[in-house]
Amino acid sequence: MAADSKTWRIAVVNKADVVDAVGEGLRGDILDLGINGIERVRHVRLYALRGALSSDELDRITTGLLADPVTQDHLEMAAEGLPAVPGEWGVEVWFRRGVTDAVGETALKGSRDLGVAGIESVETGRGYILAGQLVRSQIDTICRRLLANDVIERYACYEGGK
Amino acid sequence: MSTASVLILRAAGINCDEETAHAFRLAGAARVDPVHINAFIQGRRSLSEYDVLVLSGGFSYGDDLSGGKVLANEMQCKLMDDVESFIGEGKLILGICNGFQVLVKMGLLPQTKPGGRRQEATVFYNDSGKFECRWVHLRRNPDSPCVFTRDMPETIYIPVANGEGKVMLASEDVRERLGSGGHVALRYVNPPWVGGGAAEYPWSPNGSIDAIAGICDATGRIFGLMPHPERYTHPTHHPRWTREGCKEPDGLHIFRNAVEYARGIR
Repeated sequence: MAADSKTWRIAVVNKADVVDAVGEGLRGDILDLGINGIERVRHVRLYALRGALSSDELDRITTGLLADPVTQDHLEMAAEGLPAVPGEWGVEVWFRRGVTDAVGETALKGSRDLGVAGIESVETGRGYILAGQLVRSQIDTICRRLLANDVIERYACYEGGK
Repeated sequence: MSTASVLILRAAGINCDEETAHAFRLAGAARVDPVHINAFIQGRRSLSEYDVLVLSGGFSYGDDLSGGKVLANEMQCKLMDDVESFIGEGKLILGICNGFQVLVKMGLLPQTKPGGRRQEATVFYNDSGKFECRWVHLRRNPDSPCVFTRDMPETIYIPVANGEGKVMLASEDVRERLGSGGHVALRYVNPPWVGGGAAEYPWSPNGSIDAIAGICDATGRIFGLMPHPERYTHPTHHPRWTREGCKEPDGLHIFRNAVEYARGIR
């Protein structure tokens, strides 16, 4: 029997011993904003896969296409979002409805190349886990001035452990 | 003497196909065809027509998910039987920059253990977090079985241009087998005026483990490298040719070696 169509939210993150050059670059950019409490930034690639997928097909897409087996881990995101712990903030940036998602189109093609016929759409986003002495107003500043383009993107931020 | 037929495989986002074709023509290949991958997937053309399969530089499918990943999967899922037959017939495969990323992510390189096409390595984002575009010094490994680097000068100077050029390995075992099997055909080295030796940034532009710039399989017939040999095939490509005079272009050696070997295949 075919699986019901649903959406899986997947996060792809560098393994702990792999340099996160994007995160390091962003940390410098946040310091340039005058927000000196930032200590560490982890960059996460986000994917929302929609379709009637078996667990085997989902695994084929995540391990065979989205995450590099040598350098990256992937996890299915729980309802509460990115795995931010107390003292960290999670930020998700996704395209607004109607904006062309070229990377999502590529991921859709790649999934179908893998023989996953039940895949219907792929949306892509970016996630960030920000660690440091930060307050909500500073997170909003970081999101508006650095992480998200408000014309085409929406963002959500939340405090880890809450 | 037999002739050499070279296929430059094209796909969305590949952008170094014409200069790579030019390099092979300069090196004496009788037939060089840039052909889109769909022609092979749809059965309108066959890999068996060729002696050398080349995956050239570019940004296949935008490198949207990671460098070369989508093209690697496409080849694995739709062309792998043909590619295996091609390899089994003793023919040559060359991957340059994005093409190298494809070969690594297909599991064709380094392939330190016979059988299977398991991914033993990857080519990841540069440590600098930047696109690195400049000329680099490379040292050839004289103990490598690599067909493409045979009898080249000990060190060569060619350009590199990538954002994802850092070679990383799946395990220490792979690293040991790479060394013992002579798989590392080219390494980045410091220039003579800073003492030579193992390269450090910026002379190693990406932070590759053991300064790896190019890898071959155990047979030496499958070879991939991050730098662009096709960008130094005329003396005037060299950035200091007006001051230092015209020299034999280092990049041309790789294409000449491939053509010479391919002439002996048929």
